Amino acid sequence: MFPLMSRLTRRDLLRTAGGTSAIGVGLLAGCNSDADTDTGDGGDSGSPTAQVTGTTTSGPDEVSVGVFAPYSGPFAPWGGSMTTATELAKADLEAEFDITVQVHEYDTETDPAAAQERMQRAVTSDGIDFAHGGVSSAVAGSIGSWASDNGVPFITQGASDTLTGADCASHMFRAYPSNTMMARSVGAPMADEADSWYLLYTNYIWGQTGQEVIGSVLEENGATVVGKDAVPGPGNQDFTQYINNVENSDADGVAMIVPGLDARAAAGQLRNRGLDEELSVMFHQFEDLVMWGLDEEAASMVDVGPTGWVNTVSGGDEFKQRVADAGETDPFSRHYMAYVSVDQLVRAAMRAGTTDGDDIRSELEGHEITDSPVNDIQPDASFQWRACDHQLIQPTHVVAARETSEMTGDPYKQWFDVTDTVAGGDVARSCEETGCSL
Amino acid sequence: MGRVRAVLRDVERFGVSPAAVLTAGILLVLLAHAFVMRPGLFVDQFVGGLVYGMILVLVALGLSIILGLLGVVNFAHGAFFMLGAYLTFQVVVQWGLSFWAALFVVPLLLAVVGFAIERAVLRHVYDENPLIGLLATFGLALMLTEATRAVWGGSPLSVPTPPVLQESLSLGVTTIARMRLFTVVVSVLVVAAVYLLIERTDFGLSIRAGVLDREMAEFLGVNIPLRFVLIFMLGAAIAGLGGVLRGTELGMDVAMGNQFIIITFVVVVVGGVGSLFGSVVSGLLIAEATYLTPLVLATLAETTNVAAINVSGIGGLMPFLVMIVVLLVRPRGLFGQKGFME
Amino acid sequence: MSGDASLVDAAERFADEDSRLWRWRVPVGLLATVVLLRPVLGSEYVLGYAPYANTILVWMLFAAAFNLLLGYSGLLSFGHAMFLGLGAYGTAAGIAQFELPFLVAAPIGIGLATALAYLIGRIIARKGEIYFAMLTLAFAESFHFVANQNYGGLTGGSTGVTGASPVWIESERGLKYVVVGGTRFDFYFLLAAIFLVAALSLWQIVRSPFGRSLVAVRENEALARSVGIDTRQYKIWAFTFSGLFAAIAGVMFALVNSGANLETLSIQTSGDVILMSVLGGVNYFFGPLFGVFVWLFSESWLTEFSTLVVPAVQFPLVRVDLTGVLSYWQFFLGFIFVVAVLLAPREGLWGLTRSAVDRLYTRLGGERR
Repeated sequence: MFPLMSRLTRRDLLRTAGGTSAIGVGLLAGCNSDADTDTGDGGDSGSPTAQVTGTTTSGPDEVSVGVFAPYSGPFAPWGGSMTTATELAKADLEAEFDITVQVHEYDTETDPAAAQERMQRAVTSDGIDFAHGGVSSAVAGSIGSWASDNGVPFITQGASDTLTGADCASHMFRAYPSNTMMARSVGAPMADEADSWYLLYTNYIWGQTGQEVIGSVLEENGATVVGKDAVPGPGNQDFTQYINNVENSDADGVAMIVPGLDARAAAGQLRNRGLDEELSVMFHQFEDLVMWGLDEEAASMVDVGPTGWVNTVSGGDEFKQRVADAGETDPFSRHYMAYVSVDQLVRAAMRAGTTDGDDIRSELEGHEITDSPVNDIQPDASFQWRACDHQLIQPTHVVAARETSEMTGDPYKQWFDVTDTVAGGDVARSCEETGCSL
Repeated sequence: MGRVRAVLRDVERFGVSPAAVLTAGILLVLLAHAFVMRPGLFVDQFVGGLVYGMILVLVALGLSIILGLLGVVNFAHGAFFMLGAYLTFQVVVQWGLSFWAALFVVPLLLAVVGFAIERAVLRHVYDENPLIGLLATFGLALMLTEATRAVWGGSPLSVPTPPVLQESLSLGVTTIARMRLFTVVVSVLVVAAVYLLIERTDFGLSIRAGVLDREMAEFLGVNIPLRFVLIFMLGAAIAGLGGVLRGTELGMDVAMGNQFIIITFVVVVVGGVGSLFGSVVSGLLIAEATYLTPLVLATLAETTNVAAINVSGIGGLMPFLVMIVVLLVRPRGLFGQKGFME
Repeated sequence: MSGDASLVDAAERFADEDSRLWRWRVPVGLLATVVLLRPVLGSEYVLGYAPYANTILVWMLFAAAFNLLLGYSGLLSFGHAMFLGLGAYGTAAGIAQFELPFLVAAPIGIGLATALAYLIGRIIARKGEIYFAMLTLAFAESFHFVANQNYGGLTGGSTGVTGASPVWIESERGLKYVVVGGTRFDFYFLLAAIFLVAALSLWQIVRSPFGRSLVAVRENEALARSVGIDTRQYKIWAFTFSGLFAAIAGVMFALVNSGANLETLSIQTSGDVILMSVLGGVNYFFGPLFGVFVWLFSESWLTEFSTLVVPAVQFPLVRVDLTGVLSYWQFFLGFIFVVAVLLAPREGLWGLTRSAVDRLYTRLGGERR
């Protein structure tokens, strides 16, 4: 019909950098002058034409990364930060290596089923080479398992022990310190804070494994667990009856093993009851973003909390400034973790010289990070992707809230101080303990 | 033995079966046991349960009215509730009015929404199979949820609590968050007002007549369509009011509508479709079951040393378990009327 | 014109209610669906994502099973997801946790679901409509709760069961292949085979005297009872069969997703199948299937649709930026749903399409059917 019309496919259009894609619809839908790809048997070829395989010495020219983040749902404020950090890493990598990094965003909705659907589509239809994300451990496990079955490397941020333990998967790596790493770092400080603790944990894999390991670590350090409650969630805002339990127990401290916005709601309710003054409060896998949504006074309730990174960890001032300048959220742990994930995935691809999933995986296993901007962000730390369980062995930090008067907002919110930093290797489970067989 | 039998016979004369007496007895023993073991906590959870129950009643009241008086299964009720919360956000955070202003403005806005929906959709389904109304409002709920998501986004939002309602109030034996206490007060007032409206005014009388025999009532000059519209608007407004209170207390998100419609339905069904009193009783019953069951199980596990009894997170399942038990024993709910919605 | 006449003749013969061809409409239609679905979806101009056909087949069977209850028996179930989930979890847990072969795990899952359907049916069959619906919901929520508790590590809690793939399935970047005895063919064909067998059995049930009695019960229960039909038994069996086929859909789900997750037991899933079935039209066997296609297709197609260019990319006259608007496709489908429910509650989109085709056919000179 129209000899000048080139065959425009949906995939090609989605792939144009940034911006809106234009799709010719309807009237010309049947027009197809050259048919050099198979549309007859269902068009089931999922490999993108941009994927370059081969062992050129300089590596691939273009890589495609999928960001699996919660842009809606109970972790929604976390999503934007993952995108921001990915864009930062992309800019750095493109400058250093002269490649093009394509970024595709996928909303996990903090729902494992939806996330897996999107991963399937991302790999099969959009042709991503690798992926990172998965704030919720349930989402991470579901995506990671599928990705591994299909040879797609995936670096996750979910912290449940099972992700590098019983449910470890061949192509899944974890950037964030595990629940055990965090618990072991915080055990002694917690026992110093209070002798008896009540554990409130959200009833999904992260909370369930978290409370187990925190409970045992407390006992090891001479404190007692007076009681524990499984609270619904993620996505639950009502903690009344559980706070009742806490108040009526003899506990001197309450451990909030509650993620995301649920933690924010719980903190608010603790404050309403005045319990933040009476008890020592611990937040597991602490994120300043939780407290930034309240106010400085509420934030001062945090007596102790283990985390992978806060913006008061020394080093990486330039990185922190860039994140703050990007405008959305002040720098916190997810920025750092997302940056590390993208950085490491692309570097592994460059080292491997290919975007093949298995080759990238081999490059990551056992790799020690020495020559990357990540080393500038935490200068005195050592980083290694442990081969036996794919955990990134990196430092774990314990934080506490500053005095309200010292909480500053300039150049970005710094409300929490690092009270202790532990090398990852000192607190990680041994390879046998993990129960992972890779 | 003869004395026991005599007592049972006396009890049976009241129309209560021995099985019911036995169950009641066991429940009382378990509750007493829990109270004895953890008195302070028991009181906390008991009062907390009453508070939560009145919140449930407030939310369920609108649905119960619409179901009982109009015979329409309003699946969009949860969406009204959610819309109430989001409109509060709009009114308080975006437009800068006070919370107290929102308390009046938002239900009015919801009444307008109710009017639009009644005129557009519901007046076609009054005489049809109740399933039609259910499905139509189901679709409406979907539309409202998506519209909410489109306007305010998919992230959870929150509204600042007015200063006087922050923090908790100590009642001697227990502490309650002031915001929750305020919600209870509002709930009690609304229930009382609705009761008076339905039972003690001519307006209410004409509506009850219209429900019993619509043709006859219309023949006698009662403007039934007008009354149906007004009742639907009232139900929507009450749902909106619930949304204002809940949104201010705990924030809001787009999943809120679906979550609440389920629990609201459970409350109404357990109470018995068509009975306002039933909704109040079932709301309190379900709330107490949610709050006290974990405590009862925990104390029982302690005493018997069987840790498995203490099922974690059972509170969330209690409304459904209560519904199963109640419906098996009384197929029409606690105070349901025969032939209604069957 | 003579060519037209013979075409009309042939069409008339096809449309003749008593003709043998008409009796085969459903099997032919099912076959056509299965054959065309994947190529159509995989085509570059449609979705370009052929594996989506797998998901659609699963839901089509699920909706068809659900419609046995709603369309043919007139019973609304709010908790039908529990059977889908039981089938999925039974298969997935059997393969992953107990390392049973698929042909053992799947029947166990289906058997469990069927048994539970029968038991639950016995408990709730006599209840009034709304109470019946709420009770199914209550049971479904209970199963959801139990699955989340992850007793014995069987169900994987919130993550679900993952990586539960039978040994004879290979997966390469999202595309699955069945590898059996030296041959290797696309997974879709296996799924299609299961779907066809199940859907045809369902059709047989619907056509049988049992099925017709169900319709009688739906239309006028008192009358049916007076004619001697034990309505309670019929309802129980309808519920059981519906559960059975929903569980088969669950088995398919487990195969497609290499596992099971809590979503399969959720209220969301139960609600979605109601939406899709009613949208498609509960009066027809194909109605729910059509509804599933419309819903899932819209979900996939509309969310990625950003700019509408008319009439073509090369010669744009009108450019409408629809980014964002169409990501709220559920609003528009909800609107269509409400309109359909109000205008033609049992007809749905499929019924409306059929009557439109009928009118067109009559207008073109054929005899009114």
